[in-house]
Amino acid sequence: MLWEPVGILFLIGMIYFLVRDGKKFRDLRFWFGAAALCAIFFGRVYFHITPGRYYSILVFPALFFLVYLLKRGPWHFLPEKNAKLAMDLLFAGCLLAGTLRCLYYNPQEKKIVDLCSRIKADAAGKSVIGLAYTSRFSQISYYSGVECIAPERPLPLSELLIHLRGNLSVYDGDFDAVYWVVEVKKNETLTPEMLRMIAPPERFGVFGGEYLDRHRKKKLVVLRYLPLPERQKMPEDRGELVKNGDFSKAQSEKDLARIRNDMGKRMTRLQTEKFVFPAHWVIECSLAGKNNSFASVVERGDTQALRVDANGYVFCIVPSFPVETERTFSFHVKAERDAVIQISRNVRYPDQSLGLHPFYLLFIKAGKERDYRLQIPAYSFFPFGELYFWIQSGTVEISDVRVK
Amino acid sequence: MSPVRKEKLLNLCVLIATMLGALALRLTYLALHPLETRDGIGYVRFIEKLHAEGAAAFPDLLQTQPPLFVWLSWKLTDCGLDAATAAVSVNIAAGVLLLIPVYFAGKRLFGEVKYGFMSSGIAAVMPLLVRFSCERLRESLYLLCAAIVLCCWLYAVTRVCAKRNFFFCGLFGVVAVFCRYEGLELLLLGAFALPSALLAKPRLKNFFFALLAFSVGVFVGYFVMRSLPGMPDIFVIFYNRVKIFCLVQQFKPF
Repeated sequence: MLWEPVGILFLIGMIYFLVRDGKKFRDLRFWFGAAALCAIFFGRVYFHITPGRYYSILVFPALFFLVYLLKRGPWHFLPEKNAKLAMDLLFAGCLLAGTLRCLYYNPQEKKIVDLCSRIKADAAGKSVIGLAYTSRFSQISYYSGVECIAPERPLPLSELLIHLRGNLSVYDGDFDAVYWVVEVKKNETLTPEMLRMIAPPERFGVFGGEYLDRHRKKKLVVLRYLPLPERQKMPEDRGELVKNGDFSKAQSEKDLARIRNDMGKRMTRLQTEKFVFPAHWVIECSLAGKNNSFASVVERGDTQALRVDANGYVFCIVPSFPVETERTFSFHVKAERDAVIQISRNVRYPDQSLGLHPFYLLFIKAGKERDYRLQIPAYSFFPFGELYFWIQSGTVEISDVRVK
Repeated sequence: MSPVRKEKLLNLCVLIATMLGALALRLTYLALHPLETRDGIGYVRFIEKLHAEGAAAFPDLLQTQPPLFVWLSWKLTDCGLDAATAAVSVNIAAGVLLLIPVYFAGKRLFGEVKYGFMSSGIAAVMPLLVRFSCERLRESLYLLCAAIVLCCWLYAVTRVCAKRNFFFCGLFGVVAVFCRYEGLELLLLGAFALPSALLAKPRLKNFFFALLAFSVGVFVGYFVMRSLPGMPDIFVIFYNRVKIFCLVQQFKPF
């Protein structure tokens, strides 16, 4: 948190103080100050407070120990005149170093703001959405003025591109332009051929890009897709239902009682309202503070749907199905409140490591109903696929979940 | 003009020059770093919403966060500034004003005016403090409150105008709590300094008046904060925070 040179001088000053000033141990106020400092530091450690800025109050001990070092440093080894000069030089050095550090900047910051301004100009007067696969999504959204949704975890560029192939049509009819903002590492390549395999270049391509740092280790790339004005009609044959894909079977009363006890502590509405969870499906929620989320199977005429009201993440895990060959996954969604659904996939790599990848981000406006059809690429080394409906926000009803 | 007065005036001029230098450095930093932090953008959006919807939006926006920084920035937007400029103005002002308590604390701690200037000089260019002053976060304002409390605490425990300083410890401790929850530790710091009043005779009388001054400071601080138009109640916010904290801790025992 402290800039390293300041931190080092702080430590030297503190050690010097402890070694040199013997009288202090008899002063009660010294012990009180030391106890306060320890309490401030270890209190934060105890409560798992990790971000550096929460330790900002420690800047004062650092500052005063630094001044202590200037005042009572090992100058007594020097002649009196030189001692004063040494102290003044160290002070001037601190001022100069601090000032120079403050003037050191990343020239790319301005370029990123300019890139966002270009997005803003391009998006003016259009219905657009930003899908930000970067930790900087709030900055992109703020400076470009484009509403951005972001997955809850990063995704390697190669995985994103594999899954975009054949699936861009899910945005047709809803938006005039869709922007993907992705962070590309130095060793990752993004060629026009790779993009051409996903969609024709007049509809999908690189809108712009800027390096994030002056050493050019990471680049922020913006991809733009221009959706068709009309949604394509869904084919009649959408495959067969996944296990309990119509939500006709409910979990047993015993299981529901267990869920009420366990999950009810986080989703408190489960304790007070009647709910039905579908058999074979797993429904979970995040540990975040907001706890008004709710999920239940509801009757809609002759059919059933899974209704999720998300105030904080709620994820519904689809019963696994084989994915040795490419599959087509389709479902119907109705949104009551503006909803963000992230479709994630559990991936096991040949080295047996597991990854949960957020592949598709869908934004559904309140009152809209949509049929979605997604191509799920084959993973020969992981024969069964586990898909997550990861509802980030909004109220949705999911029904008719099929795979072909 | 007496030499003492002349010296005081000179000291004041040097302090003002240091503050102007600090202001210039912070404005330069701001110009060189146009990209706001993620959390900072969250606050800017809060302020924009407050400006658009008024005080009624406060409970939804700040259910669990102490509101002073957002409140001050919001009030500045009423003077015609945009949300981002208002927020950074509050922080730059706090960052520059911080040099005053740091100067007095340095002077008191090391016994010479020179070291007061050294302390404020280093605080003026310390990269962390400069960064906090230029971000739209609560740190800068909180650190100003913390510096005032620490300075008053130093004067109080060394028994210089102890009662007045205990009063300010309490008052600015509460202001710090309205800025960040960590302000509670500053209040505790002030409270734990009370026994130092027992070091001077008459011990009990000193202790009693120190306690009284501190308590009056706490109450005055609280009521001044609550009387600000549109300022939400810190107890309600704190209650929400504790509720969530307990909920989360139940599942993540430490």
